[in-house]
Amino acid sequence: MTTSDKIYDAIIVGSGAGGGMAAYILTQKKLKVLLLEAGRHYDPETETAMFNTPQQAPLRGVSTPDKNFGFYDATVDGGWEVPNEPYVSAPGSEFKWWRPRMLGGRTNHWGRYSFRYGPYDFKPYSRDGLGFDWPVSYDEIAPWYDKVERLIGVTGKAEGLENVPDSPPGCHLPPPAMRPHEAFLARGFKAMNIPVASTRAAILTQPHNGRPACLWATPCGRGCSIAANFQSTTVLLPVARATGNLTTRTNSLVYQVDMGKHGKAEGVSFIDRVTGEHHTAKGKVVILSAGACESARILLNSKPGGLANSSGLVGRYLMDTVGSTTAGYFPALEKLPHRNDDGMSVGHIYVPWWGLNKQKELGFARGYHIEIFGGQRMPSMSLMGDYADQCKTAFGAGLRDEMRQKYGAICSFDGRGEMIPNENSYCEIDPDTKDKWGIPVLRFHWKWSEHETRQASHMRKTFLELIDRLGGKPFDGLETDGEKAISVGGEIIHEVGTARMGNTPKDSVVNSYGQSWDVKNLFIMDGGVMPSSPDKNPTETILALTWRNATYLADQARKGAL
Amino acid sequence: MSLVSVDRRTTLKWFAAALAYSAHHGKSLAGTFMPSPKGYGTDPDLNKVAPIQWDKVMSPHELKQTALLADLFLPAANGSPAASALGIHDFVDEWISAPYPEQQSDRDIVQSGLVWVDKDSTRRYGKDFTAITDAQRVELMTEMAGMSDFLFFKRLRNLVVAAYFSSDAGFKDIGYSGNVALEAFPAPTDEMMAIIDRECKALGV
Repeated sequence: MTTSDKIYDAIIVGSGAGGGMAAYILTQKKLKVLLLEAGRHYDPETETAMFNTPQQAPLRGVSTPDKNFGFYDATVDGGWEVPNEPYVSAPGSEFKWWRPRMLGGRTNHWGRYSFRYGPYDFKPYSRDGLGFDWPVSYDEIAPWYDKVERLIGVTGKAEGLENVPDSPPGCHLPPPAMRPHEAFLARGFKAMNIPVASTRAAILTQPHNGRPACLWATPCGRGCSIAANFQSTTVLLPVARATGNLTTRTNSLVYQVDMGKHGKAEGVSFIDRVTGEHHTAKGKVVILSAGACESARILLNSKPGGLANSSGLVGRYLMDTVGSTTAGYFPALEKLPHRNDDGMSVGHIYVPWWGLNKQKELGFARGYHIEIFGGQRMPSMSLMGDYADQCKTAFGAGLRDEMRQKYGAICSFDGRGEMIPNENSYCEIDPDTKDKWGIPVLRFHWKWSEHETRQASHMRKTFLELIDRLGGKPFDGLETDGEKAISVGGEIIHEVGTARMGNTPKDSVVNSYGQSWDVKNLFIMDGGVMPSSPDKNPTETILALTWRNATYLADQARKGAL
Repeated sequence: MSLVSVDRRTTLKWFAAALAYSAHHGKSLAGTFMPSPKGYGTDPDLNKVAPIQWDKVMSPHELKQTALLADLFLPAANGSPAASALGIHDFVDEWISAPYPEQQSDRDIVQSGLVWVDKDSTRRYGKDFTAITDAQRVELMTEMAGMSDFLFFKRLRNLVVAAYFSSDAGFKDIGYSGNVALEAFPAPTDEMMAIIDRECKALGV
């Protein structure tokens, strides 16, 4: 055990969206910050294999147990499993937990769809009597969304759609032009009275705050060596570092918040992942930004019954996004001439939820949005395998001709929907299993409700109708039974809700600033604080909440109120 | 089925088998990482890719068979190289030799299929697959293509075609023109929009 005498103004655990933003704000407000990251140091500028092709990678870069999203995916030392750091699903439950071990965490490989939650998303219980309201409203968070969008750069345009807030002028960057297949699909959606919108993505369409614009090539999941998309490592941490107020320690796996006198936290204990040695660090404030589940694990391992857990809610009401996918082949798209469809990794259009006013008749309470993929994209083993399966010619010159003819005619649709928090979905400490260093690990319990399975069924039926209307042939994701069509818990990698915020210590773990009710110098700044999980991807909201809450923290610290 | 959703599904398939086992035995499923011997590991250098560490399993005869089969799937034509000219048979060897579950399952399918091919060739023509005439090989391919439950043919076809077109030369052959830096992303041309409009009208949308 090594103990440093230095007392930092704040210790931040984790360097992703939450931890990166907390460091960005607090160091600029002149707090001396220690940032502890469980993974190794990571430098996107030198490590990203931007233009490398599948041929240069083993096995053409396909996903393997070593690199779950493919060889070039940014994720380091992780994925669905992390060496030496197991987790457990309870019998009858299935949950998948994606973790990287690298500076910047999941912001290095994330999808980059970047949405504000809407007014209804903050008050879901008030609207339909299900789940929990947030202790804050859209209007309270809107200015922080503005700041985030101005800082990181997010595309979008005013659409005037219910519960899809338009940003004030000057916030959004211009969206990209539609690709040809997207123009085609938009016609199909229009025929179904489903409006499509310009994409909202944390990818720069013009130079922004000293960062260059996207060069319209190379998958964002690899990360971006020119910083044209949002990563904690390219946008937040360099600014924090430049203040001189940031100390970063990587390979530091925090397992416990240490308590001092008067019911206050005095620091954290961690293991050096390389040497296996235990260390402690001291801080006036402790901020957990390790990701919803890891932060919950730290709290639950900090003392019997869990630290900051007088509500009993730590680890409870775990949520993920509902996912379902269908792919189809569209003969009409064969008629288009060759073109470069790389553009952004994300679709240049998406479909926001259009059924707000008919949830009752639909039989599920909350909505979903649709993400679109297609066009003449960089050939990969999986994509070309799908095309090969669509070709009727068994072998010979005709097979080559058919591949050429069909290339660009496959499109796929990912539904991404809201899950309502339920009592059967949670994480807790497993009584038996420990990680390599003897620290107890998480056990997950998971159950979708009918609100989610019916939603997944609706996704599939919508995709199949669209494909049919556009003369296409679906070939993957045909099952419309919601129980079978729905993703595995955790699969969409949007875990939130394990330390929810609220108005009282009885019904929440933290207050509306992410501050523990029980331990006033302990904050949670990650997706854990979210009382609900709207269909809109959570990253932008984690950034906005953290900007707001770190600002509050700095203010309280200055007043000596922590 | 974005790139990521394809990968999501692939990796989840590995878990499904393990889960079914655990659920059947009333056990908790631990997400415990098992390193693949001779795999490239969880943190490879992405810019300076190290040579693969696993030993290739194909015999010279199997490689020869695979090259012939690959060229039957994708022969040279009008300036396009044959599959073997791009080393697709070597890639199939790299693939089935890899220490990962999907590839190991393909190893069984491919190697047992190659044994079957020689057997069938010998039964029909009295010689193994590498010694018969081109016309006889086409005859045999046609037979295999008609065997609906013959996994080997379907799997090898998929591997050969996917490997061919995901190679640098395959990019060019199929007409992929991306992976280049652009100043701006162009909107569809008027010609493209006219085609889309015509097709949509024909479909009644």
